[in-house]
Amino acid sequence: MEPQTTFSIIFVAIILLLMAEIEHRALVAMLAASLSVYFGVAYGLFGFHDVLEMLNFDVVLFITSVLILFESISRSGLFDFIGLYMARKIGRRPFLIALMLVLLTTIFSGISANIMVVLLIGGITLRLAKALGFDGRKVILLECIQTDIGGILLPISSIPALIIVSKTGMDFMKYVQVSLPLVVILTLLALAYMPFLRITGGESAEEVEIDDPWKAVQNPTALYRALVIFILFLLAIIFYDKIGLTPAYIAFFFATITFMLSGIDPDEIFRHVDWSIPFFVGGFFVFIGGLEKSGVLENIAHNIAPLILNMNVLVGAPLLLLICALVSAVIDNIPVVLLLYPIVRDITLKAGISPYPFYWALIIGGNLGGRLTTFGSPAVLTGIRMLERRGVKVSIGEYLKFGLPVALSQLALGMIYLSILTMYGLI
Amino acid sequence: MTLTALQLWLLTVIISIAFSLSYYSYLALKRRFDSVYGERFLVKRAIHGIVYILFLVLANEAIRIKVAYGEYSLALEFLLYLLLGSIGVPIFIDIILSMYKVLHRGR
Repeated sequence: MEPQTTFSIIFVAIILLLMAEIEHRALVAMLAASLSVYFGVAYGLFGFHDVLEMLNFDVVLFITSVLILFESISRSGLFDFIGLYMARKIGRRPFLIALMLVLLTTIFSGISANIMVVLLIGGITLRLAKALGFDGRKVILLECIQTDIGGILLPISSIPALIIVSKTGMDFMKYVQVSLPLVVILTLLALAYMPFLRITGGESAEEVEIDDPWKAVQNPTALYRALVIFILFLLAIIFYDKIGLTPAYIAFFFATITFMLSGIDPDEIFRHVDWSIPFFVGGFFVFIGGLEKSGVLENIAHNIAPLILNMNVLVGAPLLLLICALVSAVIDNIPVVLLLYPIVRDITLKAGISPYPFYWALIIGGNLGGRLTTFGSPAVLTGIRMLERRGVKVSIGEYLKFGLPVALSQLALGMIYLSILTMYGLI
Repeated sequence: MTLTALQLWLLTVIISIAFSLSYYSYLALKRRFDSVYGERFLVKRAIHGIVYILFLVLANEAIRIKVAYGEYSLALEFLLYLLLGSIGVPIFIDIILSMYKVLHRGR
């Protein structure tokens, strides 16, 4: 068999495994990496010493360290504290409280793992819904949808953004200049849906006091320290080129500082970090390296290139965003971005056009696509499971009826936004 | 090529083992797929089967590239095809049955 045929078979098998969610995604990536290394070395495409380079260790280290920092900020009780503090300030006004919860979800998911935010804010939402007598179900669904919007906010907010930023060396401030207006526009669109949720306090309202925010904080010192460390980390990432350090090193350094100074038990953080992500990303990087060296990626790029290049970039980039979003709706967005990134890079390099509109298409499409189905976004899945555990069933039809119009309109707006930025050369 | 009585006996034994292996792998596969997918997720069951077939092709290639130029490469390749075939045929049957049920249910 030709190396290209073998790697194509691996590619098809891995995509099928991911699509049908037959095995855990980290296991699939590890299997893909093992097969790629075995065949790559056996065919003489690369040696064992090249595997470390293919692994993109700096990106994996960066992602792992950011996950540790996210975990520490979540464990400090900061999100519970702010949520309950604001609820107390707003008082017994259900609509405003729901609005505040959706907004906080968007912001918090920019600085923490989406699933963690859904669990924390979702828990607060259910407690407040019980206390004020409003239907928390639709608010939680909207929060789930918004977590993926928050994933666009900062270069560290989501794995697709982390991958693209660390691979391309995109400037932090330039990233935020593009992402912030988009997040604001998409959030406003989501908030515009809120009057249709008819959130009013019901007769079922229990005369329960809204919890004291300080009750959510186990160790106030840990909260202050974790917050200060996280802010310093953000500042260091913004000015990483001026400091002369790499983002991976900065993230690793602050993860170490977190363990030393935050006052949060390191074991507690290690236990709760999602370790499947670094294994998944690392394994998939090796797999992508194998596809690249065997010429499979070049073949795929050759077939995709006309789709992107024959069109005006104003249409090509939003079209790639749409494709990326639709594929992310059925497959995890990390492999989609990991796979499309080198293809897009090579195509744009050969054509001599700016790759950035296409990189942004991957970041936005990868983040916005998952919400199109109940199983595409882990945050949506977590929110629905949380509701189910409390005896509230949310059928796929119900989710699509409520969530799909929001998700689709945000996707369309994202495409228009990307097209406008490209037109005016702002990317 | 003529086979000696010993070679013929050996071939018969090997083919019988392959049949037994095929039968038991079908039972094991059916038990596993029934417990995971049952009759509800037949498309997913078929996809799982296809993935197994693809892995068998890869397993064949993985071993073939290691033994292809050895002294007994022909005999080893024959045994390899027999072994993988005996596992692959039941999987293939399961895919066909699953797809048949999917199409039949759709009517």
